[in-house]
Amino acid sequence: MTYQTSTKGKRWAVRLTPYLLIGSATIYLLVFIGVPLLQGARLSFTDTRLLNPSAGRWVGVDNYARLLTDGQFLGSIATTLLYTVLTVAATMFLGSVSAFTINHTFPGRAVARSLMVFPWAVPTVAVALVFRWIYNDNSGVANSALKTLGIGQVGWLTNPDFGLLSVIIATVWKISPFVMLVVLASLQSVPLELYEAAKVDGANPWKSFTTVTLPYILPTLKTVALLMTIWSFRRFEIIWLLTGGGPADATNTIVINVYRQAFNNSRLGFAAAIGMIGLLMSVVITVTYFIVEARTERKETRA
Amino acid sequence: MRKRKFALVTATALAITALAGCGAEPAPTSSGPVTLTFATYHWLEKGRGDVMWKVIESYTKTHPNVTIEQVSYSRADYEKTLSTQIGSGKGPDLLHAPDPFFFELEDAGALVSLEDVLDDAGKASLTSENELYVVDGKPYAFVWETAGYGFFYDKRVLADHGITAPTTFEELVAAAKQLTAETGKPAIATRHLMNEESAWWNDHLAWIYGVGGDLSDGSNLTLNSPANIQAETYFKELYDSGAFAVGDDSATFREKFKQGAIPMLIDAAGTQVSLTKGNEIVPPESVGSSLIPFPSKGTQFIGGGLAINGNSAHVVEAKEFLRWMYSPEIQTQLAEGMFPSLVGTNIEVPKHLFTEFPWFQPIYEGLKSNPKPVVIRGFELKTPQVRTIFLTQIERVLTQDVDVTEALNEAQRQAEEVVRH
Repeated sequence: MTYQTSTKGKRWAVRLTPYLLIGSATIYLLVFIGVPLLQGARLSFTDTRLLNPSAGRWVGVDNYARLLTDGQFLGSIATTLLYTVLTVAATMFLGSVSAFTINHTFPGRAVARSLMVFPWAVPTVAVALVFRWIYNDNSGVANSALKTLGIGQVGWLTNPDFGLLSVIIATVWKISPFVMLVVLASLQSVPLELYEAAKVDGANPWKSFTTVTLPYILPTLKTVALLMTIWSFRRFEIIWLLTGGGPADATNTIVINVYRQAFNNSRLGFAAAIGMIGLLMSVVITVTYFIVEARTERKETRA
Repeated sequence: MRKRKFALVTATALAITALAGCGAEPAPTSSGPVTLTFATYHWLEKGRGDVMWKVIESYTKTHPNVTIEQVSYSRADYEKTLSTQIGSGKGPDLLHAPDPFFFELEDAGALVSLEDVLDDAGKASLTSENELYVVDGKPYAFVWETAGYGFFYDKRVLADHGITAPTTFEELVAAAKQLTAETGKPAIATRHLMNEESAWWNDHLAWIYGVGGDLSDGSNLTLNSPANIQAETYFKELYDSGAFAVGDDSATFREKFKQGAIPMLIDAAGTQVSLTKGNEIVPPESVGSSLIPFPSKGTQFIGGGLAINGNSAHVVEAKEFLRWMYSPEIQTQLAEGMFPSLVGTNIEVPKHLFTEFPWFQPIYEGLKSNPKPVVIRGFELKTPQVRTIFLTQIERVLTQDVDVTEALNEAQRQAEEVVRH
């Protein structure tokens, strides 16, 4: 009897273990993400104000209806998409090129690596403040350099034509080391035998890259690009500190809009509606990514 | 069944406990030690905050069971931080509520009525600006400060370049252009950036009121009035003059003024104390001032009310503190620290301040000449939203050369849409 009970108990323990392990993570997600998400969704259907969060009235889809005809909101979607596409493209390019560069051995490589990681280590607030000074119209380093080159002055943070570019440059400088580190780790995991085999087959460096390196690191590149995309959608501090959403709404992204509505105008319900739409966009991108990935995998399996 | 009963009893007990905390009457005066927290961003102002604090702290001499504790947040984060705290049922006991934040607080029912704080003599001593904080016949704050704005310049720099102090807008632009041509540096600065939105708004009303404009007639918005169009045309002209410190935020241009790198400012008077007191490069006696040299000489004042948080557990003690604070003796002491802003009662500004800071006289006269508030009359609650709309259009004028009339018409259209809801 004791033996049977012991074996039964062991079987239950084995069955329960995965659920226990996943369970704690699930509880964490539910408590700290799921519940606030549902709260936010509920808030988006009310006219709640920041100062009196418990006194919001149910207004149905009124907030969403107003957003869909609000020029400033529609503009912020376009700005967010543009900012995301350009930031992700530039970051992936710069990060990958950096990773390839420091993957090779050369004198001072350790120092070079440390320097290249430095932007990632600097607090974002410090980065924003330093770039504010760099971009200053009259006393900034950027305009001094342009003046020396005979190009003339640019309103980096005061001209709407340059506002978004200025923010993108600061963002790419800050986050491309992360891409570099991830891509570098992936590069260093490519088996050397594959390179040797390619060499034996007479592959030149470009062929070696396209047939060995790229296929190996492609999953990593895709995952990093997805993360960069989602983070770009959510980026706040660099944009807010540099431009506050200006000049003339040139850098007014969805997240900046949420902040303005919630904290400048105290319209918590309206801000929640903007946030929900931003969340929906992120979810659409993520789901699209996984669908494309799944289809690619199925194709490869069939092949 | 047993489990369900237990859950029901527990839930009921919890509900009763929660409800017991709601609608509670203010706690009776405690004979034990009490700490009153007092929030204002002024505590962080060098040369002013510390002087004011010395006065406030002296309350404990006559009320040893009460400790006053400073709560300070930067100007940029002040309203947002307090909103979040008050919205979550907390926040300081006493708070300085700058316009238009006061109106948001009052509308949310977050403030305590101060009807019973002052006696008749005390009420008679209040300045007319206190009317701003009376809602439905009851005061919900008393004036903490009335801050003025002005045009400030380094007299020696102007004299060195043979320039007399401008008295008209045309003279102002000419002086700025001449200084820039001769020094190669920007000559004049004022706020103009969206990441200082609320402060920019406060500053910018000097232009609108200065030419006799206004943002409403009490019932309707008048953003695109001819006077406002004139004011914005002036602003655009100065911005494009080549002498304007484009891109400098207030921290930057104030530091430049302090270092003698920029000779003219259109700015809040309050900063002149911290910029010039003890400054060997630009001492107080070298600073000249006037109201902004516009036709009507109208000006604004930044009001700020001192109120009691409805979440406070020490309302009785907080009211006693206000009674003490608005007594003539304490107001006179506070006037030193509050300078160059005025306090909330009709006490005289200490004479020595006029001598020590000669630039104060025109600012004082401006504050006594019925200045207008920085909230839009009749649309106080909607001021933040209208402000964003208005300043975004001004940004378009400044940075994209959009026609002023077109921009203000668009601002009027968008703002009317907002106030309709």
